[in-house]
Amino acid sequence: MYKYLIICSLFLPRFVNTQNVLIKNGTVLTVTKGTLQNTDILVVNGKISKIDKNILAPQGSNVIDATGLHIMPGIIDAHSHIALDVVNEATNPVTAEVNVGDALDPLDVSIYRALAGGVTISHAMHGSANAIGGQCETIKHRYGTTNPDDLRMVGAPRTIKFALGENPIRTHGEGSKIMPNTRMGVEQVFRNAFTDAQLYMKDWDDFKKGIKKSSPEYNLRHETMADILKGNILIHCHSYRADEILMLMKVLKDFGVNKICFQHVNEGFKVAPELAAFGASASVFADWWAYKFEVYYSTAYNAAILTRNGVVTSINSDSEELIRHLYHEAAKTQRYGDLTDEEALALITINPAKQLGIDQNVGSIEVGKDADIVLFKGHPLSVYAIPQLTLVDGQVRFDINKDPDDVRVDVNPNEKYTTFFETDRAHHENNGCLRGIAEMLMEESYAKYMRFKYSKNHSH
Amino acid sequence: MNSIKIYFISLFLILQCSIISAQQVKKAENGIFLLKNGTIHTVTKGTFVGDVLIKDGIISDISNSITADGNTKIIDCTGKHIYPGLIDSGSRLGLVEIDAVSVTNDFNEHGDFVPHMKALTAVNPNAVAIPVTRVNGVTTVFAKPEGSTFPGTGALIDLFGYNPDQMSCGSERVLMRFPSTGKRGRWDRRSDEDVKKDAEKALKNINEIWESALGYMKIDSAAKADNQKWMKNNPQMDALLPIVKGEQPLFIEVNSKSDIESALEWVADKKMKAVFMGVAEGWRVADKIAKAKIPVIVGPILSVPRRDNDRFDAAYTNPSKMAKAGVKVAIRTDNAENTRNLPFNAGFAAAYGMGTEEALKAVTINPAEIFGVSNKYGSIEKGKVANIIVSTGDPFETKTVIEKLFIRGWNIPLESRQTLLYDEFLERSPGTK
Amino acid sequence: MFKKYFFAFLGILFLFLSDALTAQNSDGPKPLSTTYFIQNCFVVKQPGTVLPGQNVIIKDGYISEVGIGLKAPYDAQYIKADSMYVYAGFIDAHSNTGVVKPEAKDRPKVTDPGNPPYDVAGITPQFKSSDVFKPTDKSVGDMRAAGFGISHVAPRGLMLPGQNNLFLLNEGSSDKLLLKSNTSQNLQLEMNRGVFPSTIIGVIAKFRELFKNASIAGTHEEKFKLNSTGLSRPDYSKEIMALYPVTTKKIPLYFKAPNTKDVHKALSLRDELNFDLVLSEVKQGWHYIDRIKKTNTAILLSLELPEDEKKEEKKEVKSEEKKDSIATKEIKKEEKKVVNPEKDSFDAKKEESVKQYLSQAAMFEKNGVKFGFSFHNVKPSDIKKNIRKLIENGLTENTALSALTTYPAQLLGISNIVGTVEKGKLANLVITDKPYFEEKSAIKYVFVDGKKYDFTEKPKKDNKPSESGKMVGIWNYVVEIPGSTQKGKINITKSGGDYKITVNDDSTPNDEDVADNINVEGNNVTFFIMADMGQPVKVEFDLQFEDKTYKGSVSVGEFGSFPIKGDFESDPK
Repeated sequence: MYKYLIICSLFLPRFVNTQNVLIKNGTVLTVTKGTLQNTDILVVNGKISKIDKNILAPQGSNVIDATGLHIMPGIIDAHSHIALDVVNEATNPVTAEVNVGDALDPLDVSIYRALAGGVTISHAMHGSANAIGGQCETIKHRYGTTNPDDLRMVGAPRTIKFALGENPIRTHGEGSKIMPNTRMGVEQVFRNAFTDAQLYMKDWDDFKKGIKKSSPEYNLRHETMADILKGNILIHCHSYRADEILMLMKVLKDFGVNKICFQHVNEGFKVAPELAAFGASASVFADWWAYKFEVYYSTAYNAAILTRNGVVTSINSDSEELIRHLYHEAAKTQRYGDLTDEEALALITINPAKQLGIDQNVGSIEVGKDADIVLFKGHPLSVYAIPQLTLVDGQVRFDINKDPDDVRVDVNPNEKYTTFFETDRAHHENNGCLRGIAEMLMEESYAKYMRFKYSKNHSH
Repeated sequence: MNSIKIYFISLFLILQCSIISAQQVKKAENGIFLLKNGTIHTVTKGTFVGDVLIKDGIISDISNSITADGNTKIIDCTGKHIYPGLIDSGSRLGLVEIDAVSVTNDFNEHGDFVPHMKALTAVNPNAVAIPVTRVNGVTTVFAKPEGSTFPGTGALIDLFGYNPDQMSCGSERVLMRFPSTGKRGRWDRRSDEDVKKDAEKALKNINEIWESALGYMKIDSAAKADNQKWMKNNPQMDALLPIVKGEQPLFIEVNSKSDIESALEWVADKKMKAVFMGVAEGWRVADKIAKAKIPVIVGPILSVPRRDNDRFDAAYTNPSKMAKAGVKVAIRTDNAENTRNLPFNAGFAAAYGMGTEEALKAVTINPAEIFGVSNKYGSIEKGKVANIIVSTGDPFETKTVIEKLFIRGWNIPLESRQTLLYDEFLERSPGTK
Repeated sequence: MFKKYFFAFLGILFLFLSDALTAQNSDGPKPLSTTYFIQNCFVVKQPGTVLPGQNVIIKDGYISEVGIGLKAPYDAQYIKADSMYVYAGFIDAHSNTGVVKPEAKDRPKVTDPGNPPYDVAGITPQFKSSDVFKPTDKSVGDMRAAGFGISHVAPRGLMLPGQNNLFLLNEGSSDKLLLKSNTSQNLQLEMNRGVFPSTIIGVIAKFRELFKNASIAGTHEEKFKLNSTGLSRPDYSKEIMALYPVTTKKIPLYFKAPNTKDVHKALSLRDELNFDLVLSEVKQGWHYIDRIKKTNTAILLSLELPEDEKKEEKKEVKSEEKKDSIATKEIKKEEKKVVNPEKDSFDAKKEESVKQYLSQAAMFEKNGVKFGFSFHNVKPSDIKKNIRKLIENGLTENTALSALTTYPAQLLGISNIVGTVEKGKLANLVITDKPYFEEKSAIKYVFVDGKKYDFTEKPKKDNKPSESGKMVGIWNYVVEIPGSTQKGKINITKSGGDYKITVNDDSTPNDEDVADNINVEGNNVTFFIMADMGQPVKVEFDLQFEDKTYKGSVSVGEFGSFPIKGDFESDPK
């Protein structure tokens, strides 16, 4: 899993700032080690090398004065679809073989806008059209590059998207008239895919051991499912209702899989004890609900209930709009559930890091971790907070005072100045979990219905 | 199709039942209330520590100190803040229960010219989202139809009551969507020329409607002058009468810079009163809007810039830029179930240049003025409707808690299905065993 | 015109197309001999080598002699080429030349969209472009007229459209023109909607799987041939087997990669799976120059360039004048004066971007990366104009010429027979009146495989605008479609500076189609109409007027193009 790390340390990639950075005299919200007043942070080779008072700047350092500012670790979004050219390969209930990492879009200006909200890492996910969707990519927001590989967070474990409930049912059951058309069907899709993978592994084992002489056919879908069974891929599952959450945990238990983060999980609060017992984590919205039937019985107190029941919980965006103010979304748990500052901040830093398996490297301000750091004017949990400076690997990627208005990396030579979209992009169907599906179903009878619905609201 | 219909109908029935069973909100309390010793943010008359007396549904007195009689319930507000109830100037609250369940959507009638569709008819006083919204200090919203060029007539409603009359604030406003020269989204494959053609066609269409409405007004007033009983069945035109007569402004949804410019010309050309809604690119033409003295309803503030080359905070700073140019600004969420985020939309506008005081006006007195009800709403003044919130602090600040909320003098328990679920599930019993 | 009625003819058309049109070409006298003596010309032997005062002898399809003071063979036909330039015939390294777009089909109906048949999924690597190459297609003649003697032809299709083949761009039957078959395979990030793979991530995943299975299958089949004991009988599909030569690097894979992200995908997939990659249609590849250079990757740059800014602006002004908006003219004038720094900076950024696209070829050259061109979406008549744009932006003429000749010859493994003007090579030549890259140069002759095409008598396209109203009037037309003749009227009027054209077909005289995008240049008039054939189909006209007659071509959507001619009938009513 971490094989690339060795290479990495030998040849520092070009996106790591080799210049030392010294952030002086700020209020440091470390998240894991309390709040430190009037403290300096020294960054060497893109890593936090020292946290102390009155650090002397090494020669040639870039010194940033943080007097009067709050410093927190870069925000991590455990569920987003930015920086992707494709979100859904919605043609089959199981598409484990596809990987959105093959369609990374470093030119997406949403990456910069996320940085302007202090977000340094996001989990770029496949959509929720399929029960087993594609593999996802954990990306660092190194905006400014044109090379998709520069976005990848080297060393981050592989992840895959699963989805329960209305979306796979609507896409395949209603759309294509195939299973799953019910939540019962969704369960069997999982069982079938895992069992197929077991048989597939046996075929290859037999071949490798010489029991069978002819090579089996190579099947990337089964290969991927087998990797899940071997524990090499973390599952992130789009889910809403309590019953389906329980169902998937049972399926996973039967197949010996124990790594799962439930995404959205609006009814997670109902089964918080079960989630905690399984060791499952939860990544939720702060307050989104009622956009479809399966999220009607939601509560904005979800994150608080889950946290209090011992479930590792994060707050995610699933939206190029929300991703710009996750700090504000986290703060809502103080209105709805009275979480402490540290608990609220953990929801968007160390907890999502744990869910993505990258908490050794990011998610808090600690010596040795990546220098993904945000400087805020005001406390980040205040509605008046304004991110000033965002560093990724010690490199300033957002500077509210110095950046130009127009930050496009790539300019379409045929684009006209007047380009303007009537609809707020955050609120239409192309943007969330169902991105790409409306297009696919354009000719279907209910596409019109979907288009209208999802032009009004989110689509998760 | 039929089976889908049946499915939705049964779903709807289930919903109805569950709404009733889940609606276990404590009853609102009526009476005389004295809010004692709180910091009163009147919006229009300054901020000071004092008392507010609520009686017969109105603010009957404000003073540094008011003595209570025996019937008065005294609420100690020491250390608390008293604000007028917040007003969302554009929402679908009450007109939709669940977005993706179409039978629960009542904001988009068939037809492109249906100004006679009245939001007040369809507002569901028992929508589950209403108490959810109140919890955050929102007492009043402009519930509006949408989805076509003349989608209907919106209504300013208080978020408490059991029938439309109890909720209506007496302000209904006709809506229009200005023909857009923008694409509807990334999936919109129309060529630039087609978009332009469509917009020109739509503009021609609304011009014809306007001409027709003028004609209708002439006949109508001639008939009245002549004491004729004019038999007619033209509810669309009836709905437009107050607009062409100049009695009411037309509420026009318009967003891009060039569309706003065209709309300004159109409004000037027709010599009509207007309010602009949406106004996503208002900041680009703030001076022109100010010069035309057209008030705006802007929002959601928490939205992404419309153009890739826009600065990241274009939407956050939009209200502040317009306000600074001299435009009267009100803020809306343009949402339904999350209308509760109105204070945060105002908070972001405040943080990004508008300042708390001005942002507060944008959700209180400015909408009251725009909707023509500033004699009753929008500030804490003697004689105004007692829509009041008591909070632990600045209502825009995320961690602030709204502790008391009054609508028309009723003390509304701050409870919703979401708080009930919290109470039930924080420590679920039984747990895993 | 061209209503549903016309649709019926198209069916018939395809049955007869190739035979009928080939037969048509046999009018006129036969050439007297196949020996040519090109007299006193400049020979551009290869990029950078220009030899003055040369004679070139062509015999039996070959260059039999190049030099000074040669004696003409007795049967030679003379080509007086004083001060003319002789180049090696250009080579089109990758395009769909001669391959008609297949009829637009409805979205395939499949019961299980996740597992469609290979052809519906766009996986047809066994398909050969030679099965669909039509020498009579307009694109073949157009490429030839632009100086091309050889095209490396790709089939049209989706993800894996099929095998490429090399064709001589002569008239004649396609099997005789086939120079080399199964030269390479194609991979495109193109797919059918609604069936797997329906996205680029689907295509890439599917390709990974197919590639591995092709390797397994090929290896298995070879093993089986050697010793079949205990092995199952190979039972692999033709689709899988067609990819086997790619896995063994016997043939390269041409990857259509227009933008920077596509180039990245191509390079990454190559590094992952290890095949012989040729990047094709590259418009935005400069970010990866180093990587392309280090890995010695073959690359073909697209000649489809960003739209011409100046032209655009002119158009915009025009349409703005036309615009009948509620704004008064005075306000508009005022607005024009308004400074808009935001628009200025937007435009500056865009200009910079355009500049980068135009400088791409020069950047590659400066970095010592050799390249050719591909021609999928460029009009043959624009090729020189576009190359000149690249030269204006820093590309040298020599490298431009090598991209048209020596580079593709080498890439395609045919540099022993074409690519330079040398004794013994195939007589594929281009003869121009001035150095080719000069703005006003014109191609006078093209030789393909020793066959001469004469462009000296080409109707003069004087650049002066024709006298006002010359084309105005009602003209009849006859479109020759094998098996049928289509007749009707074209009505051309002019008011102010603008032409208006309507088309009426005799079959449906009351239906009038109004032309769009009218362009008049000298005697040449082009426009299109959208005809209703069940679905809207674009019908493009390209007419060449002379006094009281005209001729030209009509291309009908994806069905190909047909000759059209007609006479003046009356003044417009």
